[in-house]
Amino acid sequence: MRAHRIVIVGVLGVLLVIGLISYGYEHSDARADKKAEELITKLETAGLPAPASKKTITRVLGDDGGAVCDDPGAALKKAQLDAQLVNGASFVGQRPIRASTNLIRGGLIVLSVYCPDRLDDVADKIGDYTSDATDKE
Amino acid sequence: MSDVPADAPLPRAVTAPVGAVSIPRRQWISWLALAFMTTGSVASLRSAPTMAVYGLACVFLYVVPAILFLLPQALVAAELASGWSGGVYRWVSEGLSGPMGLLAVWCQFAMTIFYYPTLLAYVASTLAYVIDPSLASSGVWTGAIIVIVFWSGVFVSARGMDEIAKLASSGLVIGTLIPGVLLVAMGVVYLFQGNASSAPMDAGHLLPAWTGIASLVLIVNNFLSYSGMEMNAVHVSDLREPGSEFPRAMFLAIGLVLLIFILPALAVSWVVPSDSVSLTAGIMQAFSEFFGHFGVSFLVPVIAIALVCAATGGMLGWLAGPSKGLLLIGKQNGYLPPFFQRLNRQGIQVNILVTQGAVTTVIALLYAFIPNVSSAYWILSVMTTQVYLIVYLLMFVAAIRLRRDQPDHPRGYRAPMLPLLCVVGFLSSIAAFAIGFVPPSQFADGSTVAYILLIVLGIGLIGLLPPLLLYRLRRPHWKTEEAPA
Repeated sequence: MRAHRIVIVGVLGVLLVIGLISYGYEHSDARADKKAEELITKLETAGLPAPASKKTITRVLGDDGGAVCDDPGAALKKAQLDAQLVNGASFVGQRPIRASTNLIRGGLIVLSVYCPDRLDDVADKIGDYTSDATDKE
Repeated sequence: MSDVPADAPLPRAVTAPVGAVSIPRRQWISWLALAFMTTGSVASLRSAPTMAVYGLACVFLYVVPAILFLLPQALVAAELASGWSGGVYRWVSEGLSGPMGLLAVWCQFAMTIFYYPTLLAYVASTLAYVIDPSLASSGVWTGAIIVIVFWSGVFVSARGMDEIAKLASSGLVIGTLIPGVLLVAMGVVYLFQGNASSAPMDAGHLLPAWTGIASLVLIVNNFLSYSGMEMNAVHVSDLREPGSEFPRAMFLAIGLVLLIFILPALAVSWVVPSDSVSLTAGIMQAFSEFFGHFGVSFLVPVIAIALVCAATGGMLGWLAGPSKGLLLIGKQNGYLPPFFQRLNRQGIQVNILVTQGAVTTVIALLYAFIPNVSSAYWILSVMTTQVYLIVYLLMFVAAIRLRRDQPDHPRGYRAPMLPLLCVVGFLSSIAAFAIGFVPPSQFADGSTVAYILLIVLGIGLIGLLPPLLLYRLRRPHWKTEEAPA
């Protein structure tokens, strides 16, 4: 195996180990359960589908929203968000579309439950995005 | 890094004598590696959460564009590559004219320059998600990852086509095929456990909701999901039996691309109610929810690394392809100064790659450190996809003319009903081009006229002006090689 291939495999291995150690595994507790219940209620009230189990939500969002609430209004986060409101391309064909209204609403509801203090910051940036009911409920 | 002029003859076998280190060594690639490179340059799991939003309708959203754009593009490219080496520049040069060939290959090359920052910013945010989510909003982290990964890609690309093919193929297997099979298997298990699918899977949900222009934008823009199937045709002369092996590679790639796009998106839609996924944390949030349901969250970092492998493997294909096309037309028509025509020992156009890297680095740093640039960067993806569609328009016209004007030119594969395929492909490209002028969500409530003018300006500056300048500034003595017969 050539030297640079060993380096590539090594770097990926190290990144994997770091990821496995440092990934924010969320755990259930009373506060996380309460937040999950609140999210399910808000999604259902808005007519949106909610995850099947409360446990799934707590594993992902914990009691503080995890990555979702980490500076969601930052410019690079907005760019990241814009890069998701795109067509089905994985590479160079990626292009913005008219996003699903439900997708934007659902995202804002998650923020309103886990980091309401950050909601306005994000809503200011994407709240006026044009959207349409392109996904069937 | 550059020690051999491009006009040095390429031997047809690995027979460089000892000591003659300045002669590029001939490197073959297998048709399977080319199929994997093509697949890895077009499809990955990255789009699965995006399309899972549409549930069962994602099948329609991929299959219809496949019929109207993927098949014409792939079959036409298969015929052209089996008859003419060199890729899109050669086909358009032969079918239309040299300047049109230059326009085609420039459009294919230029749009990648603006694409790399977004691709690598996605790599940075994916890594940040599992290492420390706060890094995702850090300009230093994003800029550093973009620069390090991109230049690593340039370094690897300079090692030769054989190396690129191996690593790009590995990226597809490790980053897409294996995790894709895992996702689909887990999705099937989810259903067999008696769980109801999060997205309805009945016949009433086979078609996407019709909301007028937004639905049209969604469907037509999905044509572009298959952009790049023709790109690796530039490596056709690296195959031992180009006439038969390239079509074989293309057919395998078509099947793999469809499977990679459709099945994982369906699997995610079965398990994850997509509207409950916050967009602010990126696509990894959907995968977290997917694995969270099964209680195997330790797979989240694994899939993150897999996605990084797939993205960087795909990048290698894009680094090697269009730049090679630009080199070939540059030296055969005298469109590029000799500096850009020089090759390294492995026969790679290293000076083009390094110059491209310098430009990409500047753009990437602007993206990472200037909020106004990153916030508005989406508009560049509209401009560059419009520019790429020019390539397809030229390719379909050239294919019809080549069939008409050179019917007896030997081709390893003849596409059935080629004129019909070209008409369908051309009209699909026109439709996608026209839809590109409809403002997307991100444009919010701005003026549509201003938006259209901005896109037109971008097409002119990125796609049309540079090849016009290259053509006007060409020199006869820059022509260092005759076009192959």
